[in-house]
Amino acid sequence: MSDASEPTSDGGATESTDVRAVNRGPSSHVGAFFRRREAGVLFGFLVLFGLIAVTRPDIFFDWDSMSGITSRMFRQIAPYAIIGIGMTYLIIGGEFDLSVGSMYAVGGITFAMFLVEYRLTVPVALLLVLLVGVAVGVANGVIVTKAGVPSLIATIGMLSILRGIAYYLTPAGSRQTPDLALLDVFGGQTTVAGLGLHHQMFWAIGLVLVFGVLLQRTRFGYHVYATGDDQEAAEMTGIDTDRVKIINFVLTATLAAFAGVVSISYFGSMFGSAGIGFELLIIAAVVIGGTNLFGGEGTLTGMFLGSLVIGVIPILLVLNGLSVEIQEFLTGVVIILAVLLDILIRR
Amino acid sequence: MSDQNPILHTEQLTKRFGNIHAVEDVDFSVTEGEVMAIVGDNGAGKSTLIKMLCGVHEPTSGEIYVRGENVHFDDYNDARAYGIETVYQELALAESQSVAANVFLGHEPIRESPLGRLLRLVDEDRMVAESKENLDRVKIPVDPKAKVQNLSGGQQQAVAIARALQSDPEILIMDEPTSALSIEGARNVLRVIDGLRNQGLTILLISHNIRHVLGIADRISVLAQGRLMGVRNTDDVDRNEIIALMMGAQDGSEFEEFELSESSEGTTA
Ligand SMILES: Nc1ncnc2c1ncn2[C@@H]1O[C@H](COP(=O)(O)OP(=O)(O)OP(=O)(O)O)[C@@H](O)[C@H]1O
Ligand SMILES: [Mg+2]
Repeated sequence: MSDASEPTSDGGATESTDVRAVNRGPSSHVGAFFRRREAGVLFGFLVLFGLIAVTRPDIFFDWDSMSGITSRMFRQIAPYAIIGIGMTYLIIGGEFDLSVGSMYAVGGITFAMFLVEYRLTVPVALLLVLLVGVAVGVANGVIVTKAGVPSLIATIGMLSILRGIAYYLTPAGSRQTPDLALLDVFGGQTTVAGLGLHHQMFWAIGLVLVFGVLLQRTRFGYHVYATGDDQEAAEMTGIDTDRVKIINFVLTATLAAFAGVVSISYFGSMFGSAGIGFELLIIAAVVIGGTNLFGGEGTLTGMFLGSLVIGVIPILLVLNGLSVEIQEFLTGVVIILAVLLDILIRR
Repeated sequence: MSDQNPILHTEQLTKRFGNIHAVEDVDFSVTEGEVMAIVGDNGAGKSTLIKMLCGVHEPTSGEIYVRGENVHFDDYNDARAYGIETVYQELALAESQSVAANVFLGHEPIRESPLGRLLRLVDEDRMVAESKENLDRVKIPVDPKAKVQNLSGGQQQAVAIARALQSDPEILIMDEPTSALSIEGARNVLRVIDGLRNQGLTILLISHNIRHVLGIADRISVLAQGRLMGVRNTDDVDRNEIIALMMGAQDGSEFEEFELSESSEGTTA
């Protein structure tokens, strides 16, 4: 990273002004974008997308097929991007959460349960689901910060607990939402110029923008970066780093619950096994997007572009006739390579 | 200088870690507006002494007084409330963040608009402008928007000092501010210290480097094995006397060794 600063040229009069501005703040404009990590991720995505044109020109240049595929890709990455918001906050702040896939399932399943069994209205059911997310986030956060359990262990435990609850709440294997027009707010589609745009995508983009501004511009956002960068230094200046981390855990679990609501609103039903493996894909999207796995650096724009990379890989593979097993295998390889590359770039 | 009305003094200040006597019975005092150096060999108790003065360690026994008032610090915020700021040996900077963010860490200014106050939006323009002012005060050129990890050692030291000045302290404690720097970097930091003294700050400077200390301090307190061996005015003391005090009861062979390693320090850094 900082190859240009030589330790031998220390000192005032000779100070080199090798001042690479920080990747955040209002000073970053279009010109700066291309020197940033996000540009690289966007490029990577476009290359993968372009490979579809090379390997399957018949499909790529057929408007109907390609618009359908693209629309589906955006729908599929919506939950990754929504949960990825919280995961980015968490990782920048120096922690992570492996229980998001299970939380997603519990979110969707309890939402259906509140609507069908308790006959609650959509807003009330949504509120309760979000509160379940808050409670899980507080539990994760307190166990990690106050009890000192590493987040790897604490959130794997929570992963298992929540998956157990998801299965318990789906004795028939899955739960269905009732046929309510209001659910289209989350799971519907709007057709614009012949393109079916999934509402999930609008939620994802909207939340990424809102939380992106909060991360970059608020005092809390500054404290998230400082906490993950150097926790001791942050504490010395009076920042309550435990509080920062607990809030990040709450944000992540709540967004995971919300992603479950959004998904079940689209599909109309959700299995107890929904969301298995999400944690890996989401952490990969976050890290591919330039968030430092060790904290202190990262952006939501990067995470969103990272989600696109994660979303386009299976499409490329399916179109080229590769089986599901090989897809999983190659996705794993790509993730490890991406994270490895990231670590090497930072050296 | 007289110690009639010291800004800071201690009485029989003692800190033990188990049976290690890190600081033992130290009666120490600092006069307003002076640069007081604390020197001593490795493990002499310098860091432990100042950590009691800035609220990190609780004394085992003894008292601390600020302007004659008996004080008890539970943490660095308590010390800060009495106008004591510290630049730690490890600097404690968030290296991936900007200079401005580090200067204001934990005290980011909020925008003066209803939305700004509601969302607690950081006033970045003000942060950049004010950290520039603070950095100008230390007279080492640093871009407030630069990432700290891309700065030289001297510039990082300047950022840590600028942050300490943010709360407008009366007493600034610096633990080994020159030890990790090149000759040029160290010279700059010494110039900064001189400038701050001229602005009226009281400075407690911890250092291994006797040459640096003789060049900048008004007085020198010498610690050896946790005890205060003596206090000297810089004007009427020489290097050998300081070293003799530092060595305490130890014999001359170590004295030779120390001379060697100490004089090579500046050229290899
Ligand atoms: N937290 C601690 N726990 C136990 N012993 C400690 C602790 N801090 C310091 N000591 C011991 O107290 C003694 C004084 O240490 P201190 O760090 O104050 O010395 P110093 O003069 O700052 O040395 P240096 O020049 O190496 O920084 C040493 O013997 C050290 O090992
Ligand atoms: Mg020390």
